[in-house]
Formats: sequence, C-alpha cells, structure tokens
Amino acid sequence: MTDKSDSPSGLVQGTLDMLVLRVLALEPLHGYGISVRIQQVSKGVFDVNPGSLFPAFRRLERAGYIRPQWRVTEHNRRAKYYALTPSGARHLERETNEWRRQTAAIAAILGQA
Amino acid sequence: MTLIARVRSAAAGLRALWRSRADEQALHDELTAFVDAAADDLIAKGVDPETARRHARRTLGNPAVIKEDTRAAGWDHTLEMLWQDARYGARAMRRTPGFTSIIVLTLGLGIGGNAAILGVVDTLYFQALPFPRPDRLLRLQDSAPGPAGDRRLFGMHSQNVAEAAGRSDLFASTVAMFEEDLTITGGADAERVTVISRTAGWHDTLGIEPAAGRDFTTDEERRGRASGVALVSDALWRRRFGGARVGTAVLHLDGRPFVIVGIMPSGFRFPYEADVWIPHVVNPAEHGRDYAVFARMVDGRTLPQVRTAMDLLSARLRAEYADELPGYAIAANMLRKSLVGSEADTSLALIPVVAFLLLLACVNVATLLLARSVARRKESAVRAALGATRLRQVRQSLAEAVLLAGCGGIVGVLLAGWIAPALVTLVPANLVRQLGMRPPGIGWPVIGISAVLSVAAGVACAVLPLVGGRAGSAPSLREGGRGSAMDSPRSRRTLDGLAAAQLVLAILLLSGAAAMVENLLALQRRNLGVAATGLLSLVVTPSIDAYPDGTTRAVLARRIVDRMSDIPGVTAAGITTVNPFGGSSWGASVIREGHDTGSRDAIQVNHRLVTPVTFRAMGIPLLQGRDFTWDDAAGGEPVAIVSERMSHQLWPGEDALGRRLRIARPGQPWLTVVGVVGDVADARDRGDPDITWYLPLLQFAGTPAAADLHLMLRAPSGVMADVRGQLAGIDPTLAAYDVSEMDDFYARTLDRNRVGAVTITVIGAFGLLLAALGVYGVMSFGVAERTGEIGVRMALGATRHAIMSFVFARAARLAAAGLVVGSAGALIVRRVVASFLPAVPQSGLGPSVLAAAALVVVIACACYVPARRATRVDPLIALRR
Repeated sequence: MTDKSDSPSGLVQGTLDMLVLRVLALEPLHGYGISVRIQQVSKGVFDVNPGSLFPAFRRLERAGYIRPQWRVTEHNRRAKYYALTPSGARHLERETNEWRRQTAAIAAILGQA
Repeated sequence: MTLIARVRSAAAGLRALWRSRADEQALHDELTAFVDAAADDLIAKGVDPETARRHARRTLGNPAVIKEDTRAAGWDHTLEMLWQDARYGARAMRRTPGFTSIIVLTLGLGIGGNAAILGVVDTLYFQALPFPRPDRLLRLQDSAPGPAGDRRLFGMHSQNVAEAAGRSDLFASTVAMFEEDLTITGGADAERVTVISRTAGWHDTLGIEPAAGRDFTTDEERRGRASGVALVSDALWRRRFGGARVGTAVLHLDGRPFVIVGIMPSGFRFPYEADVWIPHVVNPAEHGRDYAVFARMVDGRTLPQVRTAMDLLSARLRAEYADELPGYAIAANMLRKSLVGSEADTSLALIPVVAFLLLLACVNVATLLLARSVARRKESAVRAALGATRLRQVRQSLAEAVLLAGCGGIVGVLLAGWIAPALVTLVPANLVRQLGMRPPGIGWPVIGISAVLSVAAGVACAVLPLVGGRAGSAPSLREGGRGSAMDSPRSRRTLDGLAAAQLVLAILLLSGAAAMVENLLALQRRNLGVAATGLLSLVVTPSIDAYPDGTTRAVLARRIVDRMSDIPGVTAAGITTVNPFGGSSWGASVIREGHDTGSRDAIQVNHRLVTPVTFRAMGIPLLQGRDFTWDDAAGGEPVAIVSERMSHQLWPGEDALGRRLRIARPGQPWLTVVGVVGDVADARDRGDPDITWYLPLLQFAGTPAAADLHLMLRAPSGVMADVRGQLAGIDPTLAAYDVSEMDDFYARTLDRNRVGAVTITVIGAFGLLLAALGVYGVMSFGVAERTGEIGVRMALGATRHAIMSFVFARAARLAAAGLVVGSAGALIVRRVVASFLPAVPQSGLGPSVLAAAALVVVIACACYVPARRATRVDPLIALRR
C-alpha cells in the first residue's frame, strides 16, 4: 500500500462517509460495488482506496447509518451488502445541505478573488 | 454524531466486544468478497482469471492493515488494546516477581498511608453528622478574653440562653443542655451515670428521636425535671434494664424515680457521653450554671449574619452588666467545627507528610521503571520495528504502571485497614463515642481514595521518566547485544534527578518527623508545675440532696481529707475543685483594690477552691506567705492565694502579700492575699500557664464551683481499696470515679501527639529506606552500564581507589544536590509543622543536622556495594563484552 493517508486521492477529509451514503441512497451495494460506483459517478476523479473504505463502513455501521446484510451477488457469490437506514438518510440530507452551504461560500470567495 | 448515533455506536461496540470472533470472520469474508467481485469484474471484461485475481488482490491492498484500521474504527478496539496491554503487563509482572513485589509494596505503603490518614480526615470533616441538615446547626458559647489576649469559650449563662432562644429571626429553634453526674440507686450496685438535662428545643434543633418508646411530650418538657420521665442510652438500657418494658421501667437517680419512656438509638450518647436525658426548663435568674447551647439557623440566614447579630446582642448585655462581663461576647460556630475543634491538628499535620510519602514512593517506582525501560530498550526497539507507534509504547508502559499501582492500591487498602485502629485516637472521641459515627477503617471512602490514588500514582510513575525525555526517542536494533544500554546522557540525567528528588523528599519527611518527635518530647518534658508522679487523683460528687449547703459540704470536705490522711501510705491529702490536667475548668472575673473603678479593670483568672495541704499533696511549691489552714473557714477572714504569674501580672515588681482582691460583682467581699504558689499549666493548652487564684474550699463550699471534689493524694496506687473503704465509711453513696495516677493522666492527654509522632517517624524511616534503595538502584545501574568504561580505566592503570572515587563522585554530586534543595525545603516544612504544633520552636538546626547526617550515612551505604562491584570489574572480561 503506497497511500498511507486515510483519505483517497484528493478527497476532503470526512467526505468519504458522505459519498458512501450518497451511493447507498440509490440501492444497497456491497463493498466492491460501492468503490466502483463512486469511481463511475465521479467520472474517475475519486479512486477510492479500500484501505479507507472498510473503516468507513465500520464507522457508519456503528453509528446506525447503514445496515449490513449478506446477499448473493450477480456472479452468484456471497457478499456483504450495505443499505441506508432512515437515520442514515437524514444524516445524508443534513451533511449534503451543510456541504452545499460551504461549497457555495467557498465558490463565492474564490469567484470574488 | 448525534446523541442517538453515539448511543447506538456504544451499543454496537459493546456487542462487538462479545462476538469479536464472529466479527473477525465476517470482516475476513467481506474482504474476500471484495477481491472476488473485483476479479469477476475483470474476468467479465476478458482478462484471464489468474491475472484478474492477482490484479484484484493488488487493488485491495494489504488485508491485515485494512483489518487493523477497520477494527480501530470502533471504541471497543481501544478497550481491547488496553486489555492486551494489561495482559502483557501482567505477564511482565509475573516474569519479575521480585521487582514487581518491591514496586507493589512501595506503592502500597504510599497509598495505604494516605488512605489511612484521609480516612481520619473523612471522619473528621466529611462523614455526615447524624443530625438532619447538620450544616444549619450552630453551637453558641459565651466567650471572654483569655489572659494571653486569646478568646476563651465557656458554656452559656442561663440569662444568655434565654436571650438567644428569643431570637426567632435568627434561630428556628435552640436547645440548651447541662450535664451532671448522678448515681443510679436502688439496683444491684450503685453506678455513676452522665445525665443531660435538655430543654424543649431538642426535637426541632437536633431531631434525634428515641429508637424505642417515645420522646418527651410538650407537657413534660414544660414541667421539666418534676415530670419524672427520662430517656436512656441503648447501652444503659441493655446493661441495667434488659427484659423490662419501656414506659414502666423506673430509674432512680440519687434516689429520685424517673420513668423510662424511651431508648435513644444505639451508639447515640450526645452530648458528654450521656447515659440519661431528662427534660429541663432554664431559669434565667439562676446563677452559676453553664449550658451547652445548640441552635438551628433560620433558612436563608448565614453564619456571618448570626455573628453580627450576636455581637450586637453581646454589646447590649455588656452595657447592662457592665461590671460583671468585661470583654464578654457570644461566640457562634458551626456545630461540626465546634465538635472537631483543635483536635484535628495532628491529622492535618500528617496530610502533607503522607502526601510526601506517596510522592517519594512514586519517584522511587519511576526510577525503577526507568531503569528497567532502559534495560528493555532492545525489546522496545523490536516492538517499534514491528510497527508499534510511540503512542502505543507509551500506552503500554502506562498500562503496566497503572496495573502495578492497582496492585499497590489493594495492598494500600489492606494496610489502611490495619493501621486505622491505631489512628482512632486522632478522631475526637465525641464523633465516634457520642454520635455513633463510623471510626476510620476500611470503608468506601478509603477504597475510593485508594483507587483514585492508585491511578494517579500509576500515571505519575509512567510519566515521571518521560519528563526528562525517554532514553532516545528512536531506539534502534543496531545496538544488538553489545554496547552500553544507556548511552544517552539525557536518561542518565533523568535517573540522577529522580534519585536526588528521592533524597530531597526523604529529608523533608525526616525533618517533619524530627519536628513532631521534638514536639512530643517537649510536651513530655514540660514542667506542668505539679509533681505528677506518685500523685493519685479521684473525683467525688456529693449529692445536692444529702449536702445542700456550704456548711454540710465544708464538714464533708474536712472529714474526707482527715480520713484520707489517716490511710497508711498517704503522705499528703487535699481537695481541689479542678483537675489541672483536664476536665472542666472554672473562671472568675477579679478586680484588685485600687483598680476597681470600671469594668475594664476586671481580670479573668482560673478559679480554684482548695483545702489546706492540697499544694503540698500536688507538689505545687509555696513561694511566699502561707498555705490555707482549717481556720480559713466560713466566718474567718476572707483570704486568697495567687499564682506566681498572677502576682507578677497584677503587682509587677511588688509584693503581693497583703494585697486585696475581690470577685468583680457588686457586694463581694475583699480577699487578702496570704500566699503565692508556683504556676500550674493546663495540660490541654499548649500555651503559657493561665493566671490562677486559689480560695479556701471551706469558705466557698456551697458555690457551684465546689460541686465536684477532686481528691489529690500523694500515695502509691495500692491505697485505692483503703480509699474506697474510707469513703464508704463516711457515706455509702459517695462513689469515687475517674481514679487515675496523674502521670498516666497527663500521658493520655498526649496520646494524639504520640500517635502522630510514631506514625511520622515510621513514615520518615520508610522514606529514608526508599531513598536508600533508590540511590542504590541508580548507582548499581550506573556501575553495570559503565562496566566497559571502568574496564578501560582499569586497563589504562586506574587504581581501585580511583575507581571507588569515580563511583562515589557521582553519588556525592547527587547527595550535594539533594542536601541543598532538601535543607531549604526542610526549613519550610519545619515552619509549617511548627504552626500546627506550638511546642516546637520554628527555627532549630537540630533536626536538619540529624536529617543530613542520616542522609550521608544512607548514601554511603547505598554506594558501597556498587562501588565495591566496580573495583572487582575484570578489565579483560569487561573489554571483551
């Protein structure tokens, strides 16, 4: 492992949790599925390191924002799927709003300069 | 995280602790599934399965690290790590039982000492008094200026009791009580018991109800003693009335019957170790009776407000009774303060001492741990190489130290429980014996204190070595098996510093111990003005009914002295009304002829009534004039004898004989001074002796001050049987009590000082031993780690003598540093200790010299063995290593 830092390349600290929740808001996914989906949606900008993904799952699961479930994959294998819980959905909404507020503010400052 | 999320996270963590193995498996499966899914994805894109799997595994990264990071995401992980640290620490402890037991014992003594003393402090200050809302309770006392400008407290005069009780704006209720010793008659054998007469405010003020039976009714309280009812202590009930019924059992006190209507709770004997309580009504007009007065403050009132109001009241009373009450005031104190009083001084003096002991123990253990951590440098290098972070390593040593200290804490609690009974003397008797409060011992406070101290001590032991910087922050494996374990001068300096700190602390402890021992010796050597050895004292209280007036009492006193003098072995016998070594005291306001114009001229003196020969019996020297004779009786010329101090104070540079004095109340006769006797000190009061006047008992036998007759017999203690026989021959109801040899009596008043001095001496000796071990440890470690250097020196021709001085030079530097700092500290400690113990002069070189000498001896001993070892180093072997 070359990247020892907790955050994936260029990812602002703490935003990984939000991305995971956002991806899960569409449908329950397993670990690999989540990493692929983040990569796809971000058009390859975020290449999520599994080394920070799994601790994030554990964190979110402990906080009750996602719920794990063993299911069979499309390739007929057993995998741990994560689904968003209602409190996870609320948390995502709060975080998203906060994020929008901050990025708007930052964009305004950068736009002025 | 919201609160709910936090709770959920906590619950999940707890669950995880239980099913950690299943959790591990699930995580493993999840990572495997990730690799599988990634591989499947690639295979679907046409990559060959072998390459796809390899690539998928590379995408995942190191599964062990991911697992570690994932586990670390929950708090349960921290707990697990702690548990792991603790288990590792426990293994390390088991591997080195000697080292471990020294540390555990050292910390145990430190913690135990603190727990024991703080247990005493808990009883003194923190354990709740058994009254409802005790923080609202006050004690009210009369106070007058003492001879040395201090203020003396007395029981309250009946007039003032009524004044205070009337202040409903300040006090929700008040209760006044007085104590007398009466004899239980009518039973198998006569027994003297303490009887408390209490007023109607008892219930509202103190709120202690009988455990069986009932309290006095309002009607009974209004009628007072005449109502013929009594409450008794649980102990008295069991002793004399077991099997009888409350409400019908009758108690005869000096022949008068009282129906027992209730039994007080077990252990409750407040105040004055009471056995019996009877109702009482205060008559404001009566003279010569002092009341113990307790008041419950009105809600919202504060002690300062009450004091201000009492000062105003006192000023008014002073104006009303101008000539009688010079400097008089009413003192209000919190009940707890009044109960604990000055008796807390020894325990308070011991608090810093035990704190120093614990600090010394911690420094000592820190030294040992640092030395060991240096020795375990290789181990820590291996751990670092395997990926342990510095934080993790610090946490590991913290866990080990706390574990050691925890074991020390257990030893400490056991030790405190063992020491506590010896310290019960430090607690005023009234708290334990009258209020039934828990004496110091193993209880939750002690256990709690020990637990807190253990953790604190453990952290201190682990952190102290870090203060000077740990031996190199990046330990390396390169050193391998050779080279000195401690080439960092910083850690050597830290070790030296810790050793010197131990010496400093030991000096402080020793100087404190020296001051307390000095105090005890000064008190024991103290010239009290009485020849206490071979002096027997006992008390007789003739009943008021049988001896109602001065005439009958004077006759009785003379008969008693005559009969006592006839007993073979008794060389002199007399009666005084006050035992100067303890018990109640009487005071009087006195004015002298020529200075009797205003109340400001009145002087407070000790008031004592004596028969002839009393001075000779007690060994009080007659300095001038004559002793009283049996002719100094009622109707004779009124005379007085004054103490030497009183003579000097009232008539400085003049002859006191022939001068005239009187009690500062209108209409009192003038008394002529016929003699001057030596001063007698109050054994409980460590200051200068009071000024005292003595009046002939026969002239004042009917006054309240003559209620208790203290017989003073110059005789061996074997005569007591004869004494009792003679007393019974005069009157069978005369029971002798408080029989004591006066030197024993005085020794008992020093019990607290003795316990304190012994405790601190033991602590000081232990501190010195710890310091010696500390220096020894540092020195032997120094020799061991410089074996190579010593070998080189010897190979280059250094003599044994040179090697010895090489070792001693380091010790000398340590000792010098310790001595300089320690002596400076010792001067401060002495000042502090002396402020608690008035018998100790504040300056004094003796103890410091003693402590320094002890220190030099200790260092020499501690260095000798390592120095000898250094001279035995074989250069060949040392250099080959």
